[in-house]
Amino acid sequence: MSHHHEVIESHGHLAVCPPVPWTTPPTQRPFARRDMLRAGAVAIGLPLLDFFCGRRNAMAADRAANPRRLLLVGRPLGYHAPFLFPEKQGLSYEATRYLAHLEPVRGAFTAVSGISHPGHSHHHSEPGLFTGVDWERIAHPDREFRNSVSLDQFVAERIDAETRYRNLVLGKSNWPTSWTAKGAAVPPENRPTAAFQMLFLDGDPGGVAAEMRRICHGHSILDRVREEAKTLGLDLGADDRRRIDLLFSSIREAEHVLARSESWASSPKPKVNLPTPTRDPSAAEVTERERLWFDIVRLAFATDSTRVILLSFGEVGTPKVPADVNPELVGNHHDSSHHGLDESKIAKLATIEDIEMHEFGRFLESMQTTAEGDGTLLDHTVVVSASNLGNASAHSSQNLPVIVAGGGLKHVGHLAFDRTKNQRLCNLFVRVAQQVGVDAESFGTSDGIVSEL
Amino acid sequence: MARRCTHADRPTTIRLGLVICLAAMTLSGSAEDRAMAEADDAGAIERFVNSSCMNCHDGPAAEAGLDMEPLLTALGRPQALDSHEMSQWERAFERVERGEMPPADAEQPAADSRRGFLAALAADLAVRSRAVQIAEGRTALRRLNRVEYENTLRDLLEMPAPSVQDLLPDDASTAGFDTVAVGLGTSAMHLVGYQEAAERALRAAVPDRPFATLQWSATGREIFERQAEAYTAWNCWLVEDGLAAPSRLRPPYNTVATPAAPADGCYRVRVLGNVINTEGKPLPVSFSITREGSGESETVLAWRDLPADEPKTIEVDLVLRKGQRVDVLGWTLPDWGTVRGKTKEQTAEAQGLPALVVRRLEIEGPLDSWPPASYRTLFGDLPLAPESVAKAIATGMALPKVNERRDDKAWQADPLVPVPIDAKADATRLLRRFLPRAFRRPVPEPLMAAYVAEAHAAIDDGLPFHDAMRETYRSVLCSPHFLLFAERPGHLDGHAVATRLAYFLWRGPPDDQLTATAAAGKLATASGLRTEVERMLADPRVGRFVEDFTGQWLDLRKIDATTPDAKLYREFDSVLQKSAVQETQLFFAELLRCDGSVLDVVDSRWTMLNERLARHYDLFLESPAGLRSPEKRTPLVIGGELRRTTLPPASRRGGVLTHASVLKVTADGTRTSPVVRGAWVCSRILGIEPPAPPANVPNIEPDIRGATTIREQLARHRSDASCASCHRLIDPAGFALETYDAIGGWRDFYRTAAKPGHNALLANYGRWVPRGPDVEQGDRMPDGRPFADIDDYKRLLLEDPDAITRNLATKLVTFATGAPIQFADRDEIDAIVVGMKSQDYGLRTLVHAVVQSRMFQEK
Repeated sequence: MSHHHEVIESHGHLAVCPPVPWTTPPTQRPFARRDMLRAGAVAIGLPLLDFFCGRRNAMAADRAANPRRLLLVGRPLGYHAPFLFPEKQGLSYEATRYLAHLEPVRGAFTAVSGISHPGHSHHHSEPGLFTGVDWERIAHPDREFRNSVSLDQFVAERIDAETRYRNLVLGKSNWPTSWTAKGAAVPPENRPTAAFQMLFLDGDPGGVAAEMRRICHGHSILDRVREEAKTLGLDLGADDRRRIDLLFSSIREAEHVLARSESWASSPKPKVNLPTPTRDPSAAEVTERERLWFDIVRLAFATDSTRVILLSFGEVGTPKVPADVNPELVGNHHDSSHHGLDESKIAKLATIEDIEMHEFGRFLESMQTTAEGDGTLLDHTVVVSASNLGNASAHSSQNLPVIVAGGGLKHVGHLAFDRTKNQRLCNLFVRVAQQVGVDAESFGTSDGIVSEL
Repeated sequence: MARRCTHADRPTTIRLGLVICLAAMTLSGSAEDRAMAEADDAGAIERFVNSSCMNCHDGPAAEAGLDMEPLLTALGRPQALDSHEMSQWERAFERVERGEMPPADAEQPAADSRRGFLAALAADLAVRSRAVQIAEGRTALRRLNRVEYENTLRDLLEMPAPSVQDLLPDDASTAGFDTVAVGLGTSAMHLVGYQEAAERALRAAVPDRPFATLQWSATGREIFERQAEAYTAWNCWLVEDGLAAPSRLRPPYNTVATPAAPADGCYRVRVLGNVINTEGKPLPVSFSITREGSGESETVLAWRDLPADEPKTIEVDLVLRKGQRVDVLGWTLPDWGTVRGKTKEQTAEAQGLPALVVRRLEIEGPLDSWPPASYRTLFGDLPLAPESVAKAIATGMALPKVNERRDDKAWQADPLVPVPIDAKADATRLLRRFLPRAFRRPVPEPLMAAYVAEAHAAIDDGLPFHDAMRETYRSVLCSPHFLLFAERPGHLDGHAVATRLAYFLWRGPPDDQLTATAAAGKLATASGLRTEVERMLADPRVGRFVEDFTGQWLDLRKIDATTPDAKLYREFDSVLQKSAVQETQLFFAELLRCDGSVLDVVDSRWTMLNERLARHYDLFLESPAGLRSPEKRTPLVIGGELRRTTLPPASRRGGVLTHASVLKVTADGTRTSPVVRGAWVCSRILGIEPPAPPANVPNIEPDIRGATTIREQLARHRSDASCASCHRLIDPAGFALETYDAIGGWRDFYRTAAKPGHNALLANYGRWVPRGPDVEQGDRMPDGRPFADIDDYKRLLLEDPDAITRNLATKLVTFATGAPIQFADRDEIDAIVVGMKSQDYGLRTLVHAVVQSRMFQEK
C-alpha cells in the first residue's frame, strides 16, 4: 500500500521547459491527480498481473476506457505456406502443422491467405511490408528509394496516446520496416536489454532536475540544428535540399520525443515481474530471443507504456536447438528457405518455423490470459504478423503469410482470398487502422477495405 | 551528334555535360573516331531494341516486367530521365555489354548492331548522368556514420576509450558500404542519440578526480604465492621465480592477470617470460580482457610470441576501460579441463607438459599525462580544482580545505572542475579554438558568435562555468556542421578534400597538419595530394581503413556470424578465427604498404601466416606421407605471430579467395553452398552484381527432389533457361571453391554425420572425421572455358586482370566518396584501370589514382 502512495506522490509534473504545443496542457489532462489516487486504490483491488503497478496504477482510469493498441510482427523469410494455411475456410478448419501451435487461441485470430502488395517481390520488399508503397518507389534501392509511411507510424501519429513512448520499433530486420510519413527510416532498437531498460528501469544518477535541464538543452540544440541546416541547404542541389527537408521532419519528431521524455522524466517507470535480462540472445538462440521479445512487448502493453509496437525478427542463421534434436533437421535459415521443394531442406526450415509459431502462439495465449478492463489484453490489441515473402524459395511476394489476432475483431479462422488474383494487404491495413480507432479510409496502395473481419 | 540534334531543345546543362564527357574520353585516335561515329547513329538504339529486345520485353506482360516501349519514348523526350528510367537503361546496357542479353537461346544481333547500340547508348547515358553530377554532385549530402562519429569523438577529444556506438542506430549499407550517403538517413533517433553520445563523451573527457594511476609489478612467484593452493589446484607450478601454467586456465575464475584499470585510458603491459617443454618452439602469449560482469569468453586484444629458451620481455599498449584487467595466458595451450583430465595420476610438472612461464608481469597507466589530453582540448590550461574550491573562487569566499587523499565518495560529491580566470573571456577563447577543429574548416564569424553567445548566456543564467561549457560543446557535437560533410556541387574546396581524405584513409577527422596543408592550398595540386596521401598511409590510423574496408568489402565483419558445428569441425577454435581475420587484414595492409599488385587478391605466391594457419592449411616442412604424426611435423611457420611467408607452389592458398576467413564468412558454419560463394565472388572480386532472381516467373523454383549431389541440384538450376542466365555466371566460382569446407580447410570429401566404417584421417590434424561423398572438382567458366581445380580457376580469372582491377577501383571509389559508380564515372574508372597496367597494378598506386580522380575531387 505504502509503495503505491510513494509512487503517486512522486508523480508531480515538473514543468521546466515551456509547454510544447502538441502535448495536452496539464489542466486538460483526462484525469486529475485525485482521480489517480482513486484509480490507484481500485487497481490494488484487481488481481495482480505479473507487474507491480508503478506509474500504471495511476493510469487505471485510462485502462478502464479499454485502450486500443497495435502490434505488428515482421518476419523476413515468411512461412512455408503448405504448413500454414488450411484447406478449408472459416473457423472449422483442420489445424495445419503451424496453426496447431495456435490452437489454444483458436477463434481469437484469423489466418489470411491470398493477400499481398501488388508488384512487390524479393528480399528487398522488406521495407515495403508495412508501408504497402507503390513498388517502383523502392524497387531499385541502390539508385532511388522513396518509401511511404508504415502502418505503425501512421497509427501512432494519429492515436498519439499519453503513454511514456508514442510507439516502439523493436527487433532486427535486414532493411528498416518502420517509416515516417516523410519517408525516413526509423531504425529498430535491436537489443532486448536496452528495450527493457528504457521501459522498466529507472536510474539517472543526475536526478530529475538535471534530466530536465538536459532535455531543455536538447530542445535548444534541435533549434540550432534547424537554423544551421537551413543555411546549409542554400548551396545545395535539389536532391540534397530534399534530404534537408527530411532532416527537418526528423527534428520535429525528435522534439516530440524530448517533450515526451520531459513529461515523463519525473515519473518512475513501472516495475515488472520479469528478471532484468542481462544479455541479448543471439539470432541463433531462436526460442530465447523470441520469448524475451514477446515478454517485453506484452509487459510494455500491460503497463501501458506504449500503444503501438513494430517488432521485427531477423533471419536466424543456423539455430541453436536442444541436443536431442536430430542434426538432420537443423540448418541455416536463409539457405533452407531456398528449398526448391527438397524435403530435407523443408524439414530444416520447418524446425525454425515451428519454434517461431510456437512462441507466437504462446505470446497470444499470454495476452489472452492477462485481464484488462472489461476484457483481456489481447482484446484491446490488434496483432498483425506478416512477412514480405510469400514463398521465399522463389522470392515471391504473392500470397503472403498473414495472421491477424485479437483487437476485438470478429475472427473467422481462415480467410481465403484468391491465390492467383490477390486481395490487397493495404485493404486489410485500413481495416486494422479503423479497429484501433484511426479514422482512415485509405492507406498505401489500398483500393478498398477488407470487411470480412 | 545525331542524338544531340534530336534533342536540340534539351536544357543547356545537358549539352554542356556532353561536351565535358566527350572531352574526357581517353580513347585512342581511330577508336575515338569510330566511337564518335557510332554514338552519332541516332537510330542505333531504336533499331537494336526493336530487333533484339521487343520480342520478349514489350507490353504489360513483358519478360521480367521490363517493357522497353516506354523507355524508348523516355529517351526521345526532352525532359531528363527519372531515376527509375535511368536505372533501367543502365541495367539494359550492362546486360547487353556483358553478352547476357539477348539470352543465348535467342537470335543474336550482328556484332555491328550490338556495338552501335552500346556506343550510342553509352554516349547518351553518360551525358545525362554527368548533367546530374554537375547540378547535384555525385555524392548526396552525407553524414558521419556511427563508426566515423565515434572515431571523430576519439580523435577530436584525444581520448582512446569512449565508445558511443551503442547509443546510435545501425547504419544501412548501400552498394556494399555503410559510407554511402543515400543509405544514411538521419532519423529522430539519431538526433536524440547524438545528444546522449556527446554528453557521455564530454563527461568522460573531464576527469572528476585525480588520476588513480596504476604502477604495478610482480614476479611470477609473488603471484603464485598469493594463492599457492589455488594455483597448484590449477596445475600450475614454480620454475625459479616464474609461474608455469600448462593451460589457458579459466578467466575470470582462475587466471594470471594484472590488477584492474583504475580509469579509462591507455596502459602499457609488460611480460618477462618464456615457454618450456615445447621442443624449443616459441608459443604466443595472449593479452585479453573478460567482458565485465558477463563471465563470457574473453576478448583477445593482442598476442606475441615468447621464446622457448632465454626469457624475453614483451610489451604491449592496450586501451582499457575502468575496471578491466588484462589476462596474460598461453594462447594456444589446451584449456584447463583438458589438462586437468591428463593430470589425474601425475602432475603437469612431472609430466613435463608445455607451459607458459610468467617471470614478471607489469602494468602502468593511464599513459596520458595530467591533466589528460581530452581535458586540455576542451579547457586548455585552465587549472582543475574541486567544485567547492571553484565556487569559493568565483564568489570570493574563503577557500575550503580539501584533503587530497579523500575517498571516492568525497570526490563524487565534490568533483574536480575547471576553474576559469574570466569565465566569459575563457569561454570565447576556448570555443574559438575548438570550433574549427570540430567543424573541420574555418568557421564564419556569425556561426562562431552564435556558439560564444550560447556559452555566455548560460553563464549569465547562473550555470557554473564547466556546465555552461559542456552544454555548448554538446551543441557543437550535435551541429550539422559536425555531423555532415560540407560539400557543395562542383570541385571540392581544400578543407572538403582534406575531410574526404581523412575519413577515407583514417576513418576519422583530419589532423592539424592535414588541415594546415588544406588551408595552404596544397591539396589543390596533384603533387601536394600525393605527398599528403603518402604521409597518411604511413600513419597508424590507416589501420582503421584496412579493418573497416576489408570488413565490408570481404565481409570480415561477419566472421562471428556463424558458429561452426562443434561435432563436425572439432578442430575449429578461436585462435584459428582470430588468426584468419588477421591474415586477410595484414595481407591487404601489406599490399598497401609495398604497393603490391591488386591481382594478388586473386592469386599470390605469399600470404601472412602463423603456426595455427599453417597447420590449418596443411603447410608443413615434411611431406604429409611421412611417418610422423601431425604433432611431430614442423609447420611452415612457428609461433602465433603472423608474418609474410612464401607459399609452396602446391599450397592452393594464394589470394584472398582461399583465405580461411573468406571461406568461413561465405559458409553458414556447417555447410557451404556454391551459389552463395559464387555470388560472393561475382560481387566482391569480379564486380558483377548478379541480378536478383526474377520473382513469380513460372519454373523459377526448380524441382530438385531426387538430386543427390550439390552438382546435380545445380545442374537442374542451369537446365532451366531463366535460372541459367544468371547461374552460369554465379556457379563456376562456387564450384571452384567447393574443395574448401565451412571453416576454410581443404577437403576431398564432404563430412557427414558419422557412419561407422566411413572415416578418414585429416593429415594436418591427425583426427578422424566421418567421410561422406567425394567433392567433384572443376567446372566451366561462363564463356565455356573448362577448369580442373581452384588453381586453374584462379589462372583463368587472371587472364582478365582489368576486371579484377576495375572491381577494386570501384569498391575503393564507392567507399571513399560515399557514392556508387555512376554512368558518367565509367570513363574515369577505365582511365584508372588503363593507368594501373603500366604500374604493375600496385594497390598503393590505385589509392593514389582514386584520390586524384575527378570522382574524389568533386562533390
